[in-house]
Amino acid sequence: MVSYPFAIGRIRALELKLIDAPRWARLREAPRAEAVRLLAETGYGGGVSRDDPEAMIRAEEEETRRVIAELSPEPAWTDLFLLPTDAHNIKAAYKGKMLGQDVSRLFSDGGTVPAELVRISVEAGEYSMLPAAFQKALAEEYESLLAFSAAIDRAVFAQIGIVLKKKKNPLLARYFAAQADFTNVTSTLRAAALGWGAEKLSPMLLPGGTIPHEELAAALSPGTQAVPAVCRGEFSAAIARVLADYAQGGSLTDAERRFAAERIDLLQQGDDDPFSIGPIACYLLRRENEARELRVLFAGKA
Amino acid sequence: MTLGLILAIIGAALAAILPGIGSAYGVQIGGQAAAGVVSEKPELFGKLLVLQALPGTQGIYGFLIAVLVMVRTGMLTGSPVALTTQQGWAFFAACMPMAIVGLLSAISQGKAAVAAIHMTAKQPDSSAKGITMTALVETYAILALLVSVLFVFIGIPV
Repeated sequence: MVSYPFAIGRIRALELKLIDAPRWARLREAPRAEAVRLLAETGYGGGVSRDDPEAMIRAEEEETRRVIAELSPEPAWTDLFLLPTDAHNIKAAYKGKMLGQDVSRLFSDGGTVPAELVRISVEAGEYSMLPAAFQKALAEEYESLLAFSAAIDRAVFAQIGIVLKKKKNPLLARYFAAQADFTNVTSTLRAAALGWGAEKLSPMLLPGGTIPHEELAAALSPGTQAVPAVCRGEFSAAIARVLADYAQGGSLTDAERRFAAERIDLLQQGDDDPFSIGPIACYLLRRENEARELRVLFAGKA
Repeated sequence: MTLGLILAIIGAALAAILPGIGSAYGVQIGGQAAAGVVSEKPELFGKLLVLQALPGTQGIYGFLIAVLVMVRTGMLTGSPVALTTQQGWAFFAACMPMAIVGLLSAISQGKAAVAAIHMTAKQPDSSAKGITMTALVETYAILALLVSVLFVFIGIPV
């Protein structure tokens, strides 16, 4: 079994490979080909084509998740951060099955279950190898891919709830509650922008947050201003902080990026403890954040 | 063999055992942290070895106190002194500062060494600062060693 001092020693050394501010500046200024070369210099894309930034970013994400799974002293907790990858693979496999398409390029390694096993499970309709909440969600019938996707997203947080109920961790419980709240707030604001009603929003809302779903649905009522109405729950201060710009005409994409930063700040409270899961989770989130920012950067250079 | 001598032996044994356990734990967690860093950055091995070794000193201090008690009670020469029960308790008590402080400070120093090793992984030039910060925990082990030495050599008439 891997010990915390060993795992976090390795994480501290790996953190040096994160892209620092001067390198970000060079990446932003460089033309596309030069930026791809700079990305390769930072270690991205080992073993894959070095002219496709998306493939390089994806390979790095998979490598990060592999390292986390390999060195985690408490796999039950680090697996919680890998469940979205399982969800992504389940959605891809289901879509392939429903539409009769080859979706193998959509699969991503590094979940709690190998991508190939997810594909076989979904195609065969045999889900016993998947986490319990996914099994339950897959046993239902869905009228559309959107409804299925929403159910799998809910299953991620249902599974997190199951694990954290059995194995307490206040830091992670707070983190995932904040993530559920932030995602639900974003969904509510998106629903408001699209003119959706509460009945259409309701299936999109995730369990495990601190804002009651009825309060979020109420933010869609006619004559209600959505932004102040969603600033509720245990993380209302952070939500208000992030949505200050959005209320002034900012974009929801920017708000999502700031919510991601707020989530990292929450976990940062555990980053200094060399005998906890905090530094490992922080490293994974920073890597995910880095991948997100790189995708935005290269999309702008396409 | 008198009850006093048995008490002195128990005190000496505890002085050797408890700081030894603490040091072994401290060096162990320091070694785990260093191994994690070296697996990614082998060039830091030399700097990290010093930090890993720091919690090991308490075990040496405990061993030293045990030997001093053996010298004072004649156990090393093969002709042990017939200590009274009071003298035995006095030797036992004299060993306790090193036994207890040695155990706890070695564990604490091990944790400080882990933090310093992690800091050195991110900033290799800061290893000297890490060594200084970790070595400060040593102060209390040295004070306990001094107290035990003074008790054993001066405080107890034999």
